[in-house]
Amino acid sequence: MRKLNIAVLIRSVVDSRVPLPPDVYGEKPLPEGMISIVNPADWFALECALNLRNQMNRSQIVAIALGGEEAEESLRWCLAAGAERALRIWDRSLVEADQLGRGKAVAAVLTRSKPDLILCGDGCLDQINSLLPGVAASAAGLSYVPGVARIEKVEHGMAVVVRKLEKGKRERVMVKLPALIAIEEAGGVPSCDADLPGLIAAFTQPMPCKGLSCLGLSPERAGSRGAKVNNVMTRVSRPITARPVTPDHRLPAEQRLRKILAGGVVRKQGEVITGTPEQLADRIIEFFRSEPVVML
Amino acid sequence: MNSNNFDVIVVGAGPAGITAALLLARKGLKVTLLERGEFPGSKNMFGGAVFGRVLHDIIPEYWTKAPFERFISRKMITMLAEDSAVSLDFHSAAFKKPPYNGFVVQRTSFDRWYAQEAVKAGAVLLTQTVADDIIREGSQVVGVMARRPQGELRAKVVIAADGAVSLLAKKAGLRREFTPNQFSLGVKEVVQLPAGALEERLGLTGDEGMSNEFLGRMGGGLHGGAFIYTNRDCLSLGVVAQAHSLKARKATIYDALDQFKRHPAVAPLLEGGRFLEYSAHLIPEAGINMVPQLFTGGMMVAGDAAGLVLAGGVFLEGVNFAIAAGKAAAETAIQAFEKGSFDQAAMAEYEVRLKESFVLQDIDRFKTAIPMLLNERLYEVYPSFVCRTLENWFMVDGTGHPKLAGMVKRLLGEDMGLWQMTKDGYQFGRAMLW
Ligand SMILES: Cc1cc2nc3c(=O)[nH]c(=O)nc-3n(C[C@H](O)[C@H](O)[C@H](O)COP(=O)(O)OP(=O)(O)OC[C@H]3O[C@@H](n4cnc5c(N)ncnc54)[C@H](O)[C@@H]3O)c2cc1C
Repeated sequence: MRKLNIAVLIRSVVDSRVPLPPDVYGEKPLPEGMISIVNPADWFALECALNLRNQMNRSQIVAIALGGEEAEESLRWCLAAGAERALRIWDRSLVEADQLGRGKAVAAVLTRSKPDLILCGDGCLDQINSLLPGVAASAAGLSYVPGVARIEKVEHGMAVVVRKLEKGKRERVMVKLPALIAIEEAGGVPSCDADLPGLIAAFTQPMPCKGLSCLGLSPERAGSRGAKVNNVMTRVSRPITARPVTPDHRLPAEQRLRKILAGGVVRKQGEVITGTPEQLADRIIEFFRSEPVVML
Repeated sequence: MNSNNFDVIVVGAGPAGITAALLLARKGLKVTLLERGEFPGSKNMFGGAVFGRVLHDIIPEYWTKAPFERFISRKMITMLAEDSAVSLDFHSAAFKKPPYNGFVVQRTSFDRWYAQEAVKAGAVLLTQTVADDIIREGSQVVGVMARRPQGELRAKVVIAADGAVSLLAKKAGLRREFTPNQFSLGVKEVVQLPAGALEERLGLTGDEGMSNEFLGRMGGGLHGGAFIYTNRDCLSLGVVAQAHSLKARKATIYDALDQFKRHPAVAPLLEGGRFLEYSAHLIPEAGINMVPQLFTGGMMVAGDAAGLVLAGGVFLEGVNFAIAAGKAAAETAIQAFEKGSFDQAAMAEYEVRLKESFVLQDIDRFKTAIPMLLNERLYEVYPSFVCRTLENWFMVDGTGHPKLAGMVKRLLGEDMGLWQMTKDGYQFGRAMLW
């Protein structure tokens, strides 16, 4: 069987799940120092690619990202997680390119490297680069299947995937490869439990970066000069405000101290409650009483 | 495991560790910087002021590159009584010009930026990587164990810059167990103000900023201080309480923070504000008595990990000490590589360098401040005494203004004797004045 080449598109996004610097609410461009992370859905796509590779012994994964320094760091994490290769595309004239230009740049990479299967996340946490996969697929003449819940199998040049439709409906789709498949994030935080040698290798190896000219593109076609849509201002979504985690006041002072020492940025927290149905009901009523949501 | 070998391993990407990694990488040494957080700064918090003269030596004109909120042109010190306050309010023209005295920064962006400088210089930053233990060969430290599969990492020198509760210093047997007397606990809130409110309420223009350190009896009878720093559009405010008083009073630090926010000197500043962020952290406060053994063969301890903080009531400085200690550690390691010797004697140079710099000199100079800071009258009696004296003096109620001396004597009589105050005055003088 021929080797299956998988490419995963990785986008870096601003983490809007943590408190953002206040500038963000003003009419200013995005300030430095905001937290850039791998788009969680793209990370999930990478995990799917790794699973596929484990199932089919002959395949290799290349992670592709378009972006500056932050993209390089994202790609290194992909290498640490198990991708064989990483490729960064960046060019000064891409800074102000629109989604069409960026999509063309990614399409050029895909056309040259000819992967069989291209995966990415369906949607972006910050909504900024959500159009990119669709544009890239169309510019490269690839089939594009968005809204995919899972990949069932890949064989004989075909992929069978399950798509999510409205109201919980599902459809099974068979698509001829090469194709770009956008996978919906299944929740969870991107984590990486790479081993130390792998991590060091990922963070010390040279990371190739291709400019537009290497891809046979000109700034007029793909860069800012070719942009039909110009970004005048960017404002990211408001943060989901974190509830401060305050330790249980019934604990002794020393234990409370220990609990809060972790410190740092607090992600949005939920509460999982367990118990008999009666206990659950009581807890839910208590929750509504204590929150200014409804009057009970 | 050859690729796992570095010249130097630095643990902790706070100001101390980043400085060390940056300077070592600039010298062309193979250095890795391990950080347990998602990114440098993700787990770090502090009040807000970086006194950056030491940073200027490392990254000239850093203020043109680092993400900062405001420079501090107005410094206030406030004594808090229950419902009144007295402040010293200092404005300086010198503080408004390069090289500036201090900046308010957010650690999430500052540490991240600073770590990138180290990466650009060639340091290998590994985030989400916890160092759990040190590796020894005989009496020599030769590496660390990282919490990852195949986590053994070896180097000639290990610099532990892993913060206030340094696990590595403990594992290396360089320090004893801590007691609550040695720490304070700080909690901080960031409150977003309506546009323009901050400048208006504090009389600031442009990038000017203010710092205000408070001393007194906090809510719940806690001993400690509080602070307010100006970010761009929001205020950082927090309460620092001595851990032993938290334990003794069974009070919560949240109540203290709440009460601080309701104090008449503070509440108007926060009017209409929106809560953004909340965090907590420990501060080593026992001064020179807490500083562990600073080195052993193949290893040095820097920054908060070594208790190198100046926390003396009106001072709360740690970042500048951490940067200076990181620098001293890097210079010691560089010299060790030149000589090819990494044993205890080679590392001893580190302590010599710290003693020659302001780091150990300041901490030693202010060691007499510790008994003063633990003197409960500093929180229980004096702030309210000063406030009541002024309240009485300024009060226009038709009974006429008394002369100050008589009133002081009367109010003093209510709280304690003149003899006690003289003794405390002497203690204060030894701590701060001479
Ligand atoms: C409430 C409060 C207010 C303060 N206000 C000020 C102020 O206004 N001005 C000032 O100058 N100082 C202030 N300080 C003190 C200052 O924050 C510290 O002194 C300074 O951060 C010390 O730097 P450091 O690099 O030694 O340690 P840290 O900044 O604590 O950095 C240690 C790093 O090591 C990492 N780490 C820890 N353990 C491990 C491990 N096992 N493996 C890998 N990584 C690890 C941590 O995640 C962290 O990034 C304040 C402190 C507090 C708590």
